[in-house]
Amino acid sequence: MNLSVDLSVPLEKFVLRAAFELRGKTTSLDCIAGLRRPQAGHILLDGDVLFDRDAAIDLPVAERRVGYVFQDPSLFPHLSAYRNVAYPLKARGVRDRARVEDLLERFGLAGYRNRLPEELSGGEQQRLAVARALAAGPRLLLLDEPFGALDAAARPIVRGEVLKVLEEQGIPSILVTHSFEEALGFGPDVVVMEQGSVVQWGPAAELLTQPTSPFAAALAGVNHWVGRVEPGAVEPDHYRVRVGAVAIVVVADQEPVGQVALALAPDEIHLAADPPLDSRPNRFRLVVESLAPEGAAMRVRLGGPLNLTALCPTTVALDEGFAVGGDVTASFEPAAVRLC
Amino acid sequence: MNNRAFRWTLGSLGLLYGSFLLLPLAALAWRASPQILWSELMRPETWSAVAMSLTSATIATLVTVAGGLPMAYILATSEGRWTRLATTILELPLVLPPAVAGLGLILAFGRYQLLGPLLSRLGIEHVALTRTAVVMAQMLVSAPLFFRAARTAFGMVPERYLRASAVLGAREATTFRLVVLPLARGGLVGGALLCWARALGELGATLMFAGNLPGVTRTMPTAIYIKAQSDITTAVTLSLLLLLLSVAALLAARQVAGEAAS
Repeated sequence: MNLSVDLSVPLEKFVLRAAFELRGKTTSLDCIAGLRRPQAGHILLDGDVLFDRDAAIDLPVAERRVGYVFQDPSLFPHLSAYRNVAYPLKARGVRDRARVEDLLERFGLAGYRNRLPEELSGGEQQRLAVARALAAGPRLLLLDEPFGALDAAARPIVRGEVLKVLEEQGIPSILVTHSFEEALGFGPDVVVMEQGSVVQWGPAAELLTQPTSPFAAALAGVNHWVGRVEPGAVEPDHYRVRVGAVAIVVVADQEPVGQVALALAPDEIHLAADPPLDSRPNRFRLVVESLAPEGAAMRVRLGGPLNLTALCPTTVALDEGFAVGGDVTASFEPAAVRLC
Repeated sequence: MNNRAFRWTLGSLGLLYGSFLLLPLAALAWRASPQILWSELMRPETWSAVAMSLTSATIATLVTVAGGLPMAYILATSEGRWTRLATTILELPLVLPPAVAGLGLILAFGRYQLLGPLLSRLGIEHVALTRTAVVMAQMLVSAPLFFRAARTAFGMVPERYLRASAVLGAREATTFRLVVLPLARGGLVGGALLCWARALGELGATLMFAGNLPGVTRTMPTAIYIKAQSDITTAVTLSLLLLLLSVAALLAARQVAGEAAS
């Protein structure tokens, strides 16, 4: 496949970085780990050249000291939990009982040292896989959707346990996931890849407020529209942007021109069943297309003249009697809309 | 035909098939009595054939494992046209008629044949009609059984374990020793046992290339072949013993394969 990645990530201690996308992510990690060879470019780690096409450098996988946890834990089925963790040490002819015991302890697996992988739960297996990767003493840890195979209830628990140990150990890590929540919980920075290319890279908050593409916005769960600016301010610093059949009023210091992209966080939208439609801007009568509870909030997808997703308190949704197919009024402040 | 009739029909056919297989074995058992078997077995002539068979089959198996295992691993982990060609060639002896194998060995290693001059320059005057010839004949016929089993066993080791091992810092040789061999163990041991049983029973190629010299190249099968015409008691004794060993090898092979599968 065609993949073009240009990333340089500072590997400070305690800095955990997150990358995510659907396609190209595993390929990127495989290239860093040395399981796949890029056609061009170079990969540096802490100043060491892992791969350089032009200089014909391709460090063997075993010498890169890059830890890699796959989506499938890939524990050696014939080895006990203890021996799985001890494996990277044994492969280098090292015996370090204390280190293995310490890792088992940290991941809450000390009681399972003699069990075979098949005798462990999915979450325990994945913790064991991370413990094994850390036993190798990696300079960088790659995590490819390591929690994806776990059931929804176990996922946040296992994730929390793994993250805690990773922070304690201070190992720079890259997590690949298609879950924005997972990326947020993992580290301050998020890299968005689309169709094999990096489309956005920065703090997670930036992704929420300034998504650079519909794809990035969709990942973050942010509303994203592309519209055309109508010339002239409606009032000082307020401009109208035509999106399909409706006009959205935005606030800007300078008059925007031509085509612009707008982003709006779903929790900035106020929903009500029956308020009067007055002349204030950014009020739309829309139809409820779906309702999805998310903890104490309800994710409401609305259609009609404008497609948008709003996040409102579940109590409001219940009190106002929102139902699929019913009408609601959505409103938001012009200042809440981001021009990007 | 209703289900009942269908199953009865199949069952009857199966019974015929089973009877056909078991009848010769029953006939063998019918001819034997424990006392005669024991005294037969203790005769030096009989015993030497048993010892010859056991040692030659074991040596043939060990040499096969030593050579076939690395080749099977290389071919199981490579891809492409040449890999497929090499695999086909190495498995060809599976369908090689023993008589053809015997003739091939004579033409290759016989004194005045292809490698004869080279061997005699190396100080090896005789290959045919020696104990080495017995081992060679058995190997040629039985090795593909091991090779095939080993190749399958290596091929069934999931790729992800090899990847996992590599990123954990293990080189290929280490991965082979700590991951591949243990995971392929069942198939390897099972294949070696089948190879051993096949070598133990080898007649045609042995007879042609190694001959049937009592105390030198006479194995259990060649002894049975000769004695069946003159001394039926010895033939029966050796047959039952050979049968016992073969069945034991088969059961053991099943056992290790079953352990590996579970």
